[in-house]
Order: sequence, then structure tokens, then C-alpha cells
Amino acid sequence: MSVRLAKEVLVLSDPNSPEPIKLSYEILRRAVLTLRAVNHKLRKEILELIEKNGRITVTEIYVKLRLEQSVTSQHLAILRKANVVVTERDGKFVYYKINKAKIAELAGLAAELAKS
Amino acid sequence: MVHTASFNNSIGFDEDLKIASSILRALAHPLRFKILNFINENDSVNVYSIYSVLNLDQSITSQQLRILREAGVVYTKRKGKEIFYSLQISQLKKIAEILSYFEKT
Repeated sequence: MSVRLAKEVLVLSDPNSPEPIKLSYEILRRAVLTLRAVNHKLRKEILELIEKNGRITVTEIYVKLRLEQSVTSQHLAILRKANVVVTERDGKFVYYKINKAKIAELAGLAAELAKS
Repeated sequence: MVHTASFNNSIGFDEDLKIASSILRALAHPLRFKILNFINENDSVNVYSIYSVLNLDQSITSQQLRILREAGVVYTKRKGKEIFYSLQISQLKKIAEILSYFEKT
């Protein structure tokens, strides 16, 4: 099956340039997952809460949003993996903070893609 | 709407994010990758040649082409009764540039 081949890198000729356009399946998946991390109702609420508080613990998040701890942790893991939140240890506590630079970068990329 | 105001407006990219996600999702698909590759090799192709050469169902092909068209990565031209598909190079180039940001992380 050539499906595997098709999955790797799509090389498209660009009539205006000697350089072809290359689209990597793997990078596309990564971009999709990163955007999906943020493009989610509950995770937006979590981000909103973190942003409002500057920094916040997991416990505060699940208490304030009335969520299960496990559910909260799952969503935080997705946000952390997308690098839109970062953690900071302070004594016994782990605080979540917004990675403002990453959010700004994503916003810029999304705006660029959205305008046509 | 009011509810999502604080986070989304302060960062302000909710709608963009939805559009950007759907464009990237349209591309990140093995079959659509194959179709784009086929269009690239042939410059301009009709639906019939896509589904016959790639050995696909006509309905599936049409569905995939609609997704690609909505993502702005292909465009159509009518010649008589036939509709031909071509790559929208400017959009694909823009996507490739945007993807380079995701390469690093």
C-alpha cells in the first residue's frame, strides 16, 4: 500500500519558485494536535481561569470549575504537551501558568491561516 | 458568547483558531494527501480521473475534494460539462510556512 508513502512528505511543485512546497504529514499532525489542544470548550475555560489567576494549582482549578481531579489533570496534560501552559514548583505546590509567548505565536499563526 | 469573553477576547483568536484547525485537519489526512499528490502530478484533473486512477469511490472522492476546496488548497475550473481541479499554490505555500513553526517544538 502506498498509504504509508502518502503519509510522509507531500512535495508539490511551485510554478513561481525552483523550490518545491513540502508538507510533512507528521508536522501537520503535530500542528493539528496543538491547535486542538486550545480549540476545546473546557480547556478554554481552564486557560481562562489560569489567565485570570496568573498562576494556580490543580486543586484550585478543579474546585473552581467543579471538575473531577482526574479529568482536570488529563486536560492540563494536553495543554502542557501543547506547551500553552507551563508549571512552576513553589515549595509543596505546583502552579500552572499560561505560556503567553506560545499563545501569542499560535494566535499569530491562526490569524495568518484564517485570512484568505 | 459573554461567557467566553474574557479568555478569548483577551487573546482574541477564537474564530481564527477554528478556521486554522479545519484547514490543517483537511490536509492531515492520508487519502487527501494522495489526492493532492495526484493533482500536483497532473496540473489539472477532473473528478473522474482522480477516482479512476486512485481507485476510489466516486462519492468518497467528491467528499474529499469538497474538504480540500473548503480548506482553500484546491480550486475548480469548469470546462464545458467537466470540472477540473488544480492546486491553490499560494494557500499551500502559506500552510508550509506556518508548519515550519511547528517543526521546532
